[in-house]
Amino acid sequence: MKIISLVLIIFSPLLLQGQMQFQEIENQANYKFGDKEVRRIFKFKNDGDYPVTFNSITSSCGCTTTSLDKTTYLPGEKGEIEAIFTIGQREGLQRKKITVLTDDSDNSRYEFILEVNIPKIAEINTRLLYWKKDESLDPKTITIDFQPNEPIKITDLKTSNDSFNLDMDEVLTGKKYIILVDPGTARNSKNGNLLVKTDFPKDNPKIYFFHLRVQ
Amino acid sequence: MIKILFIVLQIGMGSLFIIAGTLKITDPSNFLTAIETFQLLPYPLAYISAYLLPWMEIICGLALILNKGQQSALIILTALIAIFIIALALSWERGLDIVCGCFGKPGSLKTNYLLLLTRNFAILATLILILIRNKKIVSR
Amino acid sequence: MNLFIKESGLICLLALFLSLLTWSIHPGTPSYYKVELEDGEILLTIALQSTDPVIWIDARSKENFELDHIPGAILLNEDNWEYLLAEFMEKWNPDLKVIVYCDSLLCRASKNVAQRLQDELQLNNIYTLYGGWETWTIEKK
Repeated sequence: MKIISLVLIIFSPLLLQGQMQFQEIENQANYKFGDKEVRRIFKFKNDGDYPVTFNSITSSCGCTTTSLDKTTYLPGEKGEIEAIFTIGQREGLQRKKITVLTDDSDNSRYEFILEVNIPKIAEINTRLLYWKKDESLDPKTITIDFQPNEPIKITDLKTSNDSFNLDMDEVLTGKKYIILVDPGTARNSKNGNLLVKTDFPKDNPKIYFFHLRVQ
Repeated sequence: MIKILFIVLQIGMGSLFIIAGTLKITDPSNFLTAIETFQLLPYPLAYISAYLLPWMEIICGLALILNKGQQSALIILTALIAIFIIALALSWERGLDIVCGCFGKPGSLKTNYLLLLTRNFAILATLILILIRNKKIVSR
Repeated sequence: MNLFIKESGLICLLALFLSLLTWSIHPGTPSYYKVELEDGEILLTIALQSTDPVIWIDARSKENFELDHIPGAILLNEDNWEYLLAEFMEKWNPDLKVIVYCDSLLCRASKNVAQRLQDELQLNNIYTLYGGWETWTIEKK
């Protein structure tokens, strides 16, 4: 009897299982134009037999921060990790990975993905208009195709170098614009910037830069 | 007089190879990359060479300075330089942008094939000269 | 001839022994598998001895860039793409080899920035630094 209980005491830690149950590993977020950040909560529960402590939480990008209420969770305790992804000026499908390390020897590493699609506001053919040395100085075009359903206006068009002649045409109202850039006839090297201001999104309107260069 | 000249040459060559070998062995990673740019050896062989070659240079260099086993050392070094010259010629012909790795780190050396080949031919010639001279002394 | 075989054999054996020794104790042992570079990736050692002029692009955060960066590098990240892109374009010219780096082997920012440069500016001479900033700090020690 004594021997059996001794054996059980010695070997019982091996029988205990660790298990952190996470509700969602991959979390797709919704985004609407103008959002500066995307927040996602990853819920979890300690389904195991002993307390688990989070040793570290890291994200694949400096643009995604995480926060956690406390680091140690007793068996049965629930908690949540909040991930905040600052979009900046990113476009397209974004997948940010968050890695969690715990002191649980059975399952020491968990990974989550925060996924969000940032649709492009404008489809632009190029940001660089470049006339090479032996290329003829014909005007080149910039095509701006706005994607959102609502009408978008180009409110301002400026160049830092006046020797580039600009002509803008609103081909499709509120949607498609074509800017014709004429480098002039003088065959000397020059460069300049082109600034296009829009009125969308309302609280943080997009500004697009273009570079013009004659070699 | 000529005797002194050849002693100086032998010690000079010995020092050259000891220095070259030491610079390579202190950074095997870098030297391995240099070997890989020649695209001649498969990775496992390149890996082995990255360690073996420098030590061969150091030991043979030492043999030249101490004047012990110097003939064998000269023959080995001559063979090594000859192989290197062939490798250079091949990569020149293939138009590769190689990393010399001659003195360990690549640094910012331009791939000046002419310079590299000339330098190595000079070393080769010197080694052969010393080899022949030593043989003559022994057979006298 | 016999003497040559004996002596050269000794030299080779000694070299082999010392090689094994160096390999086992050297802190800078190269990887056992060939570094497989992806499309557009470039090793630092190769980049440094390039004969073309290079322009370095730092794709990390502004904070990290300001702490330290590759000398002459230009900050260009997706946090502030438009404005930083304009700044980059001022310094760019077609002869330059563009190499983008971020933190280390694990980060994707350099690839994202390189891809965007290719899409938006139709540039072709763009590379990403294998190993990133980490490799630079090791190399420059």
